[in-house]
Amino acid sequence: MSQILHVIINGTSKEIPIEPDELLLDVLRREGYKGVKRGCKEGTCGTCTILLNDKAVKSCILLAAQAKNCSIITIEGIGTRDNPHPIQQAFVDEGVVQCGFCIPGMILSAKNLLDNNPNPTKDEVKMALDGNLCRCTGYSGQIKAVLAAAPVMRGEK
Amino acid sequence: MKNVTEYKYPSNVSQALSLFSEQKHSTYIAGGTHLASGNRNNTIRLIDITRLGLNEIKDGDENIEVGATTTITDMYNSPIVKKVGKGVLKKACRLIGDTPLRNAITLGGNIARLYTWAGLPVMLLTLDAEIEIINPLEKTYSVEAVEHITNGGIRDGDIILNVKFPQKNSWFHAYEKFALTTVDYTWLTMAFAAEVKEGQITDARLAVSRITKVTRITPVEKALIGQLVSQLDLEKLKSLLKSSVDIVQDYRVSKEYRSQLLGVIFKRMLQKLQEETQ
Amino acid sequence: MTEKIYEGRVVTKSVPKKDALSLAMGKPMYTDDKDFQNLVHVKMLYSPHAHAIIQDLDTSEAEKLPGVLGVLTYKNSSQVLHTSAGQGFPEPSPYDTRLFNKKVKYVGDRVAAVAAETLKNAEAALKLIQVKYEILEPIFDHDQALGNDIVIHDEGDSKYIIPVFYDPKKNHASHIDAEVGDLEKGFTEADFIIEKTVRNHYGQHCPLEPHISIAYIDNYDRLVVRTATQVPFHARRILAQILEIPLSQIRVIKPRIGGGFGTKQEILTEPIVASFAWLLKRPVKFEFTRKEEFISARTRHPMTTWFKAGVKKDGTITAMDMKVTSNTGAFGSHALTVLSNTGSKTLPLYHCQNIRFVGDTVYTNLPVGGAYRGYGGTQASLAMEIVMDDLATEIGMDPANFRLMNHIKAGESSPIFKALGEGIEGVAQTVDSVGLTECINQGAEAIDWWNREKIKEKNSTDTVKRGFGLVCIMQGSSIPDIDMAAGYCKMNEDGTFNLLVGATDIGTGSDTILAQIFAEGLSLDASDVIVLSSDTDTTPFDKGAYASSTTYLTGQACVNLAIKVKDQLFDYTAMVLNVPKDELKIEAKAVIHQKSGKQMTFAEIGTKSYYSDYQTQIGAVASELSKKSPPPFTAHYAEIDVDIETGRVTVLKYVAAVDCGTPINPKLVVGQVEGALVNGLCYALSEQYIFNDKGKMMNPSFGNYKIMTTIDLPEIETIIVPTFEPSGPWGAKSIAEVNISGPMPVLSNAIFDATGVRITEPPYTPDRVLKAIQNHNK
Repeated sequence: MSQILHVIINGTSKEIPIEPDELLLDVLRREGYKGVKRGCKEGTCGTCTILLNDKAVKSCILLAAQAKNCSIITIEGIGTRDNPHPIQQAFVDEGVVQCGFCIPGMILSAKNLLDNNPNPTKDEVKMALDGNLCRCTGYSGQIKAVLAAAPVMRGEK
Repeated sequence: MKNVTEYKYPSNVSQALSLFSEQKHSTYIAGGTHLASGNRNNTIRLIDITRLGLNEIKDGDENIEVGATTTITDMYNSPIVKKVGKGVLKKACRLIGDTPLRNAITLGGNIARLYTWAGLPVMLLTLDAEIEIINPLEKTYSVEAVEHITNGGIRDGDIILNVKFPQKNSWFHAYEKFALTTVDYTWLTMAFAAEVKEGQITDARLAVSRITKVTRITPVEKALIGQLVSQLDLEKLKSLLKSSVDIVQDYRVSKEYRSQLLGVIFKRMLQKLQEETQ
Repeated sequence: MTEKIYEGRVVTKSVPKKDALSLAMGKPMYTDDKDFQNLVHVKMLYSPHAHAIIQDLDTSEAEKLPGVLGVLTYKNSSQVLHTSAGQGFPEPSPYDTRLFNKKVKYVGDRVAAVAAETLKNAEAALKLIQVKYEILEPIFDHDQALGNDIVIHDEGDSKYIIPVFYDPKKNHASHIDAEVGDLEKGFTEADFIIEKTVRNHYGQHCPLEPHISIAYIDNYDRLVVRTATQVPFHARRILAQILEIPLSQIRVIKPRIGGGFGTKQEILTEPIVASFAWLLKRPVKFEFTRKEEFISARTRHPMTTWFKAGVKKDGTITAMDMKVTSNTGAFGSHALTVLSNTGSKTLPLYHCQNIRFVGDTVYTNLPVGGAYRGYGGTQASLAMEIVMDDLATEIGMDPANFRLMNHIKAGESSPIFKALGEGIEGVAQTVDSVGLTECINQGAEAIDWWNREKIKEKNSTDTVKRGFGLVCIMQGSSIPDIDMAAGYCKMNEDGTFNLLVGATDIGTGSDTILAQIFAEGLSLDASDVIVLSSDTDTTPFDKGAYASSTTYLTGQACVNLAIKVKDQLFDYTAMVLNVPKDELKIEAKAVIHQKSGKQMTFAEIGTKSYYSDYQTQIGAVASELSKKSPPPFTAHYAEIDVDIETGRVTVLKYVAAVDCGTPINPKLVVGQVEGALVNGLCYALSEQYIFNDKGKMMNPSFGNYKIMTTIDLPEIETIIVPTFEPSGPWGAKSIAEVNISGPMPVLSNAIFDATGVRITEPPYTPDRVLKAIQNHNK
């Protein structure tokens, strides 16, 4: 490994040996963040979505080196079983986690939206999730789940 | 990307340029969304230009200046960018890729190489944008959109610093991306702008891409100038446009269809111009 | 009529899906989420030619490359003839392939597999394999394949292992014909006859998790295969067959699966990793790229369906005649059974006594067909529902009223049920639960069907035309008299239960559904049931996740289990409390003897049965073999705009009203409905395989094979119409497949309603729609 990548993953500072041509997706999975999924490796399906400096991005078309000194949030970093993130809880409550493969990316895209826009319209939710393919649910329920999580995150429910 | 052995993080433009001068098999990387998928096989050194402070959006009196490494999302969300061309630039940003891609794709990356599927090159043309570039000798120079397109994008080793968009709010603007689904490679991208004074077209810009290489359709622009908006011969203009564009192959959809599409979309833009002019 | 509706305590409730939170937390639950030391990576070399004989194959340079551990080709791998279709045994698909064949039959056929220390090593090695092909002329058009001079399977040894028609020398992979009643008489009685030929296209399942398998040798030197499969037991059987090692030496484990939709009912990656692991005695992984998923996994069989039907002025359907040519591509995976389902899942839907079905499946040099949600029903529904609309139009009857009049009603049967089974004769059945009338009526209300002419007039312009469409669809629930499912349960000392099922949850939620069904029988909560599914060493047999059977069939096995356990609980309580067994009942997780006021809680029973009183393990094994395949029904409505200048079809609103019997978990039902119908919408509107003239797929990526995202979605309304299916668990039928088949015909009907143009060849992409409009106007 020819260089050391300093990143903060889910709040923990890390020094990770990487090659300069390695994809961020591959490095994250190697480091044990298995919630980052590999569905197409061509920047389309969105299952590898993470938050890089609080922005949802597709880690399969970014080089790990691009993340130097950045903060990364993966699905593992946003909730626990006892205290799930409101979006995680909403996805469970709405019954919209089927095979689950798209869900980490979908939830992080939703988090990116709600962190910046606590009271989105349905169209804004649709736009925020437009980079995450799902073949199981038909999306409607997931859109509903994000809308349901919004007031919880605003502290209203 | 298989030969890449170095990844460099210059902290200013000058450093970036000299890193490039040292190693001729270098490639600049910003959003990297197209790069990581592995096109440029002889690259040895990647030079990250996202940490050079080139991501500011500045509101000037006549121009809006957008730094080259500004992401499409930041452009889309910017109230300043919204002022360009009555919101047409914002609309064009909306139609690029999808949300996580827009969070990574930069203005510079979208226009540097004139990929025909990219959304913004045609915007440069109809907005009369000016591109500020610095070369490896650290000489800064500006090119007009037309020249940038004629040059076939930027030269190896040069860095785009920013793009200046005139607001052109007295003009009529239209932008269309036609594709199979919203998040799809475009089948046809078209941008149109017209200046109308007292019901008469005094200046016009029409640009297309994907259906052909990024290009301005000057015969149609010329034909429009001097015309009364209320008396445009839509069918004739459609025909002129169709005969002015040399449609490239696209295995996904026939030339015949795209030729018709070209006409329909332009016709609708002209009809919208007529509605707005009334 | 279906009068009874079941309101349950645990079933009919949307309890949380058991794995939902863990999946939402990104827990490492899928095949690839477990790290293996010394993992070997595999890459596959595929044929660039659609039809060729490998004349020379030299792997020596590849084998010399550092890091390369082995190369498999037809020269050194298993030569067992088999089918990759993961079906029951004996499989109703032809044995027409080996792991690698000397003759390659489509672009994407396997040539060689490389095992190496890293993926990069393996990729580099692929480039060093020298292959010399003798290129043969291919055949792509399935309407020209039958009896063509070009013979695809000319090796001479392919065969079915069941006694059915097969003539590979004529590229003829299967043939079915069935006739009931008197067709000629039926057509003579008709006042109007409509006939149409429709063609559906290639499509891919697109599970977001590609095929992936990891094989390793355990401490007992057994082969363990951790794999993304819908059919772990069939996978084990077929692996034993291909590798020629005893079945007892193989364990197949299904972790969480990232979607299947039929494509993971195919044994593709498993034999490759198993072969290498057996040779190398190291863990081996093979994962498809997205491109491989498109070119080398399975697809929906494209078909040409000719359908003719006669109708009397009063709306009586007098005759139906269907002829199908199905393209199975290079191999005959599900060639026979998808074909038979085209007829059996459509023809019983409407009253008619005079019916003929003739079907042929042909080989071509294109990608391989397989199981795909809808399984033939999707293909034939296109023809059926277009013709039904045209018949209604012809006699001036509203398409909704025409369907209300003609659809099969509870207590009725169709001669087709017996005439058409899974490639062989079927099982006669009456349908006992039919909510279709309600589905049609409630759906009509939701889309404002009866006011549609006004809505159309108000919203149509010179260039954009509004239209409405309606279709009805049926499917089945399990394969009667063939497929078996089993469950095993044991009581724990705290009164909870472990439920072990072979049923394969591929994301559908079947673990949760089965827990609910079992819990209902014992008045437990779903959370009291700990489910483990699909490990061939630890769970009982189940045919797997296909044929819309898990809820209905495995569900009934779980009902049977609960009955057995209840009996044991009563026996035990009667013994301990010394009360008559027949006076006991279960309430609130306790066995109660009301007369004496005595009771034992489940926790007491659990603890005492383990440690102190008449110690015994309370638990049971039970199975189910279905005797019928009750159809779920659905009515789909669409409201669309057609831009007649660009050809763009925009779906504005979509309504699906469904009868799945008792909805065991309503939210999961909605998920199945909407997932299937959006998949169907994408298939109808934007998904397509684009081939060049050499048979190569040009668009094997999500970038160019388009499925909808959130932004393209119409407004969707799902209406559940509960009925009670007497043969199903707590009245349930299936829901998984039926809704995928609606969008393709309903959009054709809506386009016709909007423009007067009948489109019979999806997908309805703007260019194709515009062409159809312009051809119509010529």
